Amino acid sequence: MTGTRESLVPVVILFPGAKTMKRKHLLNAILLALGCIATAVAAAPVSMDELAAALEKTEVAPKEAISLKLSRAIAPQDGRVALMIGSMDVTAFVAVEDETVRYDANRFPIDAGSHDVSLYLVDANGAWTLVSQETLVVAAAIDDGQQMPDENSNAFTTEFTPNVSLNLKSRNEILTFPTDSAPERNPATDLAGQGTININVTKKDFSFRSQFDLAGSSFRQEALRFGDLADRAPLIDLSSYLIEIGKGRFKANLGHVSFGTNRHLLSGFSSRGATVQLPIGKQNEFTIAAVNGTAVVGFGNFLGITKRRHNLLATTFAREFYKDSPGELRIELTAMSGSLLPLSNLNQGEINDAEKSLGGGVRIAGFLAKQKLRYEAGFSRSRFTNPSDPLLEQEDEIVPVRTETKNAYYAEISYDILNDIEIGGGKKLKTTGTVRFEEIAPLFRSIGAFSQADRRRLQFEITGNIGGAGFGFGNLGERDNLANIPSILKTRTRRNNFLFNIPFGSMFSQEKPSIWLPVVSYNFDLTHQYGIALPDGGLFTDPSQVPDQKSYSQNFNAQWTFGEKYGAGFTHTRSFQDNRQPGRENADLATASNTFTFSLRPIERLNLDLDFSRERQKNFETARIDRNFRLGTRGTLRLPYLKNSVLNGGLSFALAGDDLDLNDTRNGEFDLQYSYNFSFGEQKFKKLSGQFFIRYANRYGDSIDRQFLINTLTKSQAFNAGLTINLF
Amino acid sequence: MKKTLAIGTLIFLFCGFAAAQIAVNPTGVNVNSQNPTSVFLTFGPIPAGYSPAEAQWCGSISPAPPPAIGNRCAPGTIYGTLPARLNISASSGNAGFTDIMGIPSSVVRRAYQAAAGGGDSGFFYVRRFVSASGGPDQFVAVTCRMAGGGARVPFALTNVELETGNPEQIVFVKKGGPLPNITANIKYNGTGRLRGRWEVVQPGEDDPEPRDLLTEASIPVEQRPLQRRYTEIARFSHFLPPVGEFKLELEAGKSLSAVAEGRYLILLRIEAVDDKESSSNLASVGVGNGTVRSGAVASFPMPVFKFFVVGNVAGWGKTGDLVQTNAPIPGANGSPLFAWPAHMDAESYRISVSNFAGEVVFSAITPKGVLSYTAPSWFWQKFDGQKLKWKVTAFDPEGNQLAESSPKDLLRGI
Repeated sequence: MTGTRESLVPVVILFPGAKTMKRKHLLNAILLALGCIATAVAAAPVSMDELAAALEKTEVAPKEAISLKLSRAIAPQDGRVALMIGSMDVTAFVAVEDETVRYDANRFPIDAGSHDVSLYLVDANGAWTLVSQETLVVAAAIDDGQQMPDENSNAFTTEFTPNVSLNLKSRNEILTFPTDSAPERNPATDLAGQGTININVTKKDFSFRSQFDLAGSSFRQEALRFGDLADRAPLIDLSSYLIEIGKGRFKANLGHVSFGTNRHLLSGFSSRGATVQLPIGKQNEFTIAAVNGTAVVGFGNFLGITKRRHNLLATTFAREFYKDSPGELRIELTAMSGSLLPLSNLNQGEINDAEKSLGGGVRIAGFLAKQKLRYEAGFSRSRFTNPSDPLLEQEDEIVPVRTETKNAYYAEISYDILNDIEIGGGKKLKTTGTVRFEEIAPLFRSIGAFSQADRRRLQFEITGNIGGAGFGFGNLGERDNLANIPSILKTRTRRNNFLFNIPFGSMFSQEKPSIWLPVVSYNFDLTHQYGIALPDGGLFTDPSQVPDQKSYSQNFNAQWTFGEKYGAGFTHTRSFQDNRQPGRENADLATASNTFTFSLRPIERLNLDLDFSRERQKNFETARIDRNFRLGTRGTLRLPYLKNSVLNGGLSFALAGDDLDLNDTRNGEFDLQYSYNFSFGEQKFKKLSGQFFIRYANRYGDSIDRQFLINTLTKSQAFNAGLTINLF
Repeated sequence: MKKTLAIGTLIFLFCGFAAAQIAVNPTGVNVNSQNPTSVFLTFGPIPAGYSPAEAQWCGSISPAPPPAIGNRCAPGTIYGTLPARLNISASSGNAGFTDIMGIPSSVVRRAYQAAAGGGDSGFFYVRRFVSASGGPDQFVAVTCRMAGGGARVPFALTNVELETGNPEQIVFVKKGGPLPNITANIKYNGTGRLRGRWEVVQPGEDDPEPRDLLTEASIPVEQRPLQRRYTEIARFSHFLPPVGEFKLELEAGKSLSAVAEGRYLILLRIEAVDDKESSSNLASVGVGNGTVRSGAVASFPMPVFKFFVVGNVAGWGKTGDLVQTNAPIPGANGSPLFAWPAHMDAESYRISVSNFAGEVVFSAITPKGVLSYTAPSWFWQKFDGQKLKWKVTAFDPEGNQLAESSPKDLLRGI
């Protein structure tokens, strides 16, 4: 018998000629039953031209090889073999020799217990056909630390992993020009260090995990909180921590946390604080969060909730309506309250304010028709105000801000218009359409999420793929000044974009992709934004103050990968800003750039990267053309004659100028670093490793501006050295 | 005779003061009606002995009481004063003064509420200059017109946040492991080309000064070449359409060989670009020749991303994440095709798919060099309709976990 499981689909022919409904239903039921039987038969393992397989041993040790004996050798027309052990595909580590299929479990030992071992044949189209299935018993493991971590294990495990690194770093006197540009400390020697403590306790569905990261430096300006505390900043401080307790779906986190799924109210808010996720039955979930207003580092405000007027409280109730089909219909209700001082996150710069908001929202998401149709919608209502900000007010009598309660809502729906349609050559076509609508009222604001208020957007999008190639088209329409305030400019925006991505190398032959054909991507974006009319008042006096701009940008990219040793890339971008309103007709800008990149690994120990870019900008109003050129190289060599030594460095030049000869800029840099790694001991708490490095850097900059009569020359060169010791 | 002399003296003094009156360019700008705005302004010429004092926003202006010169904010209409945290102004060139007007959203909120209440939406930015030698105060006003924040508003960055997808602000990376991919989430006004470079401060090097971290357009033209440079690891040049938000990504692992252990700082350096709305004409205020390019101005230093490369890293939760560069796409057999970037020290990888309860329902292992995996053809028959997540874990030759990606949703057809 030949054939595949997929080819034996149940065929149910509904009986069309039944005289009565009752008889018709009976016949249809019989045919349906026959169809199901046929399906069941088809689902059973089938004989592949007498191909069968059997385990040579049905009981093995964890690291013992697992072998299956085939009834015959695999023929080319059979395709390739695939092996599943339990739910893990181990095919990549399977060896097939004549009539034996063998999995060497030494690298990834199989967990103790019973596992189904399933052998498949995979044809040229990637269809898997079951050949045999047997049960394998793996004896209990003697844990020597080599067994692959099992995420569903019943074993009780405890881990304590400390780590301390000490860095002694030193710099000679930097030679600079001009000499007054040298750093205050010249030369300098500092001691820095980092430490991590990690304690994990896990047992089946219970877990306790904790991690504390610390960093310190003998130089106060490098202290983690020097920016906030200046000379009061502790030299050793807490970088981050997280304590997580979980049992099943219950989770409690303390430390750096992130939460919130309501787009306009509270979305991915990351800070220090606490979250608790409480399951109520199998379908409901209750989450409570209390966090600092901005992400912080340091031991101060350890819990994240002790800084007054700078914190956020939130709670979310979520319900899954279908127990056996999570995500099919999910509703989330969110409430939040909080206030912010005009502070920013450590990794953020912004024009900030004192803010306070209270709000609630609902989000509904789900799918229909086996995920062919997916939808999401949300509504948020937020009460927002700006509390007193002494730095902004400065004892003046300023106009008070009124508290405003505003709404924001959105809806989006996606549908798989074409789903896995065969188009020949084993390729399938899939197309998805998406519609999005969003409206955010003027002055809507929540401290838990950023929204561009006073906007109404409607967006259409078509995406799809054919084989490995993807494409997309999008259209966006947007308007602002929704309250039609006459003295405020009202603007409309139309945006269209198109993109595709084609892996030419594998497009025509997945079995034997061509290395000479690149992966190509392209996108085109066209935006037209224009004001409806000159506003009535608002200090608008001239039509040139009302925008009418059409801009487009294009980006073409091609990437070649020649095995593991060579790679190349080319990127071309161009953009054009076309201002059309009276008085701005000539205020247009055009830019084009070309970038070539090459990566080489001619020998195992050497990596080289080279990039070359050229950019051109034209200002039509001033008739000035600026050009930039850059050549950059980087290399890493693992020295063959000095074990554990690495030499790496780079050389780059950048030139800039214009055709009117108003400006010339040259920048160059060179750096070379040698590092040597060493280690002693192997045992967990007896091992010690370290590194020594020395680096030379030389930088040069020359800028001549004949328009503003500026001539600036800067030079610097320095040696840095460091010794790092890693304990544990 | 005395009368004639007195009149002549008054005319002379008037002419003297008139000649010394401080001007500004640009004199008026469109601003975002809902969010912050930054604008590069040049005041000048600043007479000898004069220095800038406070700057205020207000709904209307009125002539300053003599002997003060210019229009000051009308009492009762003040929306706020430029807070010290946003004041990065500096003297510049030939008797000029460069001011970055960073308008907080609470100021435009006041202006919007005034307009919604029937008033006028336009407002003013008034900078006062005071004399140390007893001269009269000078007030110089700039008009602000409320618009949508897109085209015709000066191209400026109003919020820049660096993130890696993890809540930690500072991350620890194992030596030789993949470096975190960094995304700069940028909110901006106007439209223009975002051009610049990523630089790295390597272990042992001195930190940049706050002035080095300002965007090039935020400082006077003659000080721009003096910003300290560090090792460049990548350049970027993207056109930003007038839509207000952009994500700038740095694949640090591709650009930086973090061989030395210790502390690294990733710097975002933004270069000044042409932008008609941001241009400040020095000649019009008598402090220079021509127009200063000031596209991509910002009222704050660019944030710095800090990470430590250490010899050993305790396992769980570390960044040094493998980052899944692409969502799975349908493979040749219609099942998900997973792909991930290489980990320098990895000897093998495991792809794990887990269900809603966190239970691993499917996994596959691949050796070093194999960076993609197509799931079996029956994958969706078995798991269709389930809410799945997937991740990739990298292992060293001894089977120890090196790094792990954060779990991502796995949806059919995506």
